[in-house]
Amino acid sequence: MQAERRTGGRRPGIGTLTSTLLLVGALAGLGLLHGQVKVFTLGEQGLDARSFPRWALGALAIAAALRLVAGLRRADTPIGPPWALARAGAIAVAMAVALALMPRLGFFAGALVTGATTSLAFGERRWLLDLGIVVVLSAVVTFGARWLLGIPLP
Amino acid sequence: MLWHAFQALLDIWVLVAAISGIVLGIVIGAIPGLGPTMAIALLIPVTFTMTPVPAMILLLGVYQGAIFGGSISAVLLNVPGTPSSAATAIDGNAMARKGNGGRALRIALFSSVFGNVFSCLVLMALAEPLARIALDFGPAEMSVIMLFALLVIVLFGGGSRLEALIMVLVGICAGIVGLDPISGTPRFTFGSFPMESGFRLIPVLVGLFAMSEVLIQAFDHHPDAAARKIPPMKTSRVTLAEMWRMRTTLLLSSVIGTFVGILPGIGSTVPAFMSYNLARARSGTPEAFGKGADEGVAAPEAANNAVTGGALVPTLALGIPGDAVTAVVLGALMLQGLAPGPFLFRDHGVEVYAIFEALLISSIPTLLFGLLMFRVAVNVIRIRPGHLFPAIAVLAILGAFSVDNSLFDVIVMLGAGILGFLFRRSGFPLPPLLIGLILGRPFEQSLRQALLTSGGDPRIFVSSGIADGFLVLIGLCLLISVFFHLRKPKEAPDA
Repeated sequence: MQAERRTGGRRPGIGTLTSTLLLVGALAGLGLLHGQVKVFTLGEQGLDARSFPRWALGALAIAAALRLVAGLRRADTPIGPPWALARAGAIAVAMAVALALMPRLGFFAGALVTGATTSLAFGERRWLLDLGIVVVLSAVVTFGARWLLGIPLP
Repeated sequence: MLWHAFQALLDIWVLVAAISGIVLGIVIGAIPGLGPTMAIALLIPVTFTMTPVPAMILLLGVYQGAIFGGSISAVLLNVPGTPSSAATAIDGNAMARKGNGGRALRIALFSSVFGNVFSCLVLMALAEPLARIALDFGPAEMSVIMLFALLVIVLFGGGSRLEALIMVLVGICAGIVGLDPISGTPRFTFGSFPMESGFRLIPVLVGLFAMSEVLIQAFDHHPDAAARKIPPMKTSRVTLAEMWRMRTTLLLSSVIGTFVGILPGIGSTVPAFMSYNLARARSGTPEAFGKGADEGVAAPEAANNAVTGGALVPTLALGIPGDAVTAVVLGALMLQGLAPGPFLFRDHGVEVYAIFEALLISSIPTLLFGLLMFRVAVNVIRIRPGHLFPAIAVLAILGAFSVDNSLFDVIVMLGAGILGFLFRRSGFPLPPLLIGLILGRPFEQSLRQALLTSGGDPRIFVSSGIADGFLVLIGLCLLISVFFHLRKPKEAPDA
């Protein structure tokens, strides 16, 4: 099992970043609540469509703020070396690009882009073998899903 | 009912599904980083063309197989294939280093089967009576029970309570997106029609557990890491007499696994370690633990398999998942038209009992294939990450798309994968997020329905014995948690 926490001193790290994002997200949700949730009352009292989201987002904002404060007193996991982030980021970006192109180019092309980028991110450089495996994999999944499972892939 | 359910199992596809599920589960569970949750989520598209009984048997077979499979890499490599097999690794790997890896795996297998059979019998005894009681639950009772479930995950799920609370709240907030459960008003849909269906469970699951694993493994990948060496295994056998000598340990571990598994959100890791510690405390030779004690393998394996049946009790009876895996199973049940909850036994009793009986009977193929396969399954650990993880990424896209034939679900899956990567690297636990997502919406619905019924009077939540009982339990849980927190020695401040 990979160790996912490594001490990194008291410098802000990934925990601080995540807590900050959660706090900002919760506050943004509270700010957008009135615009995004319309309420039509007929004079009745009690909980409406905004009440529960308000409590949940408020509690999340408070909890995220507490986590930020608690994080200042202990070591945080470092965000990580840029090349490691680039490997993970490349896979996410490739998948996003594949999804954007899938309606036009089809599932097979999207799967190929995703699979090939993932393989490269894991350091595979035997072009013929590794690309060949990705092509076969994408073909098996595409045609298996379409013809065996009847899933109407793009 | 039991006879009709048994007749439903007399179908070749049921046998094929059971064997396929167990074999796949053993192989997938043996690979570190993959686990039953991911395996079941990725296999859901395969079950769309199947009838409910073989579909659920396939998925539950994967679950059972993967729990044993996790012990293969735990014993042989000291790298647990699943989190719950971390306790097995302590004595299992010590035995493997002495050449007794085969013996450790046999003990793990027999203990797994014992735990599974015990918990299935408890499941059959408890699930339907609980579901019948739950038919009398109104919205006030359901909202208090769900609040109890959410609190248990936060207080006793392990790790930081604040982080577990944050994750539960993230799950609840994610469940808010979509249509309001009472008035039907769109909430946080930003004018998007696909968003009105909200974030579906399966794409979020696939993202959190499969896609995030791909990203984490890519992040942690070391191209120069040496290939794992598997210690040689002497020929071994484990006799019935040797297993009989451990009967008390097996029974106590199965009880712990089953009844802790019933509590929502706890999972199988906590009961595995609880059983290990109890076995060591009861042992006449506690110093042998950590150096290759048979009971050091038997106790956690019986416990982590016993969680299967226990976790299915609240899942099937109340629609409240016991752990992350049963959350996926709950999603799969709903896709098959078997909505868990109080009406499940009334409307689909034959299918449900068929699944229970199959879980019991599948102990036989688990034993057979476990004994045949563990030498073979070891070799899957050697699959290169550069070949394995592209397959997982592509299957994740398929799995997310196939739920509703929608690319929006794939976008949700990718987003959940990125968030899962951030949360896991930050040390936030994922199961509370999942339980918050599943329970948030029904909790809000029950709460508001109760208040609508009472005209806004909150005394409806203390007006029934069931609700009062669970409120008392909530209070007790809070007190116990505060007590243990105050008793814990303070950590030294970081230098």
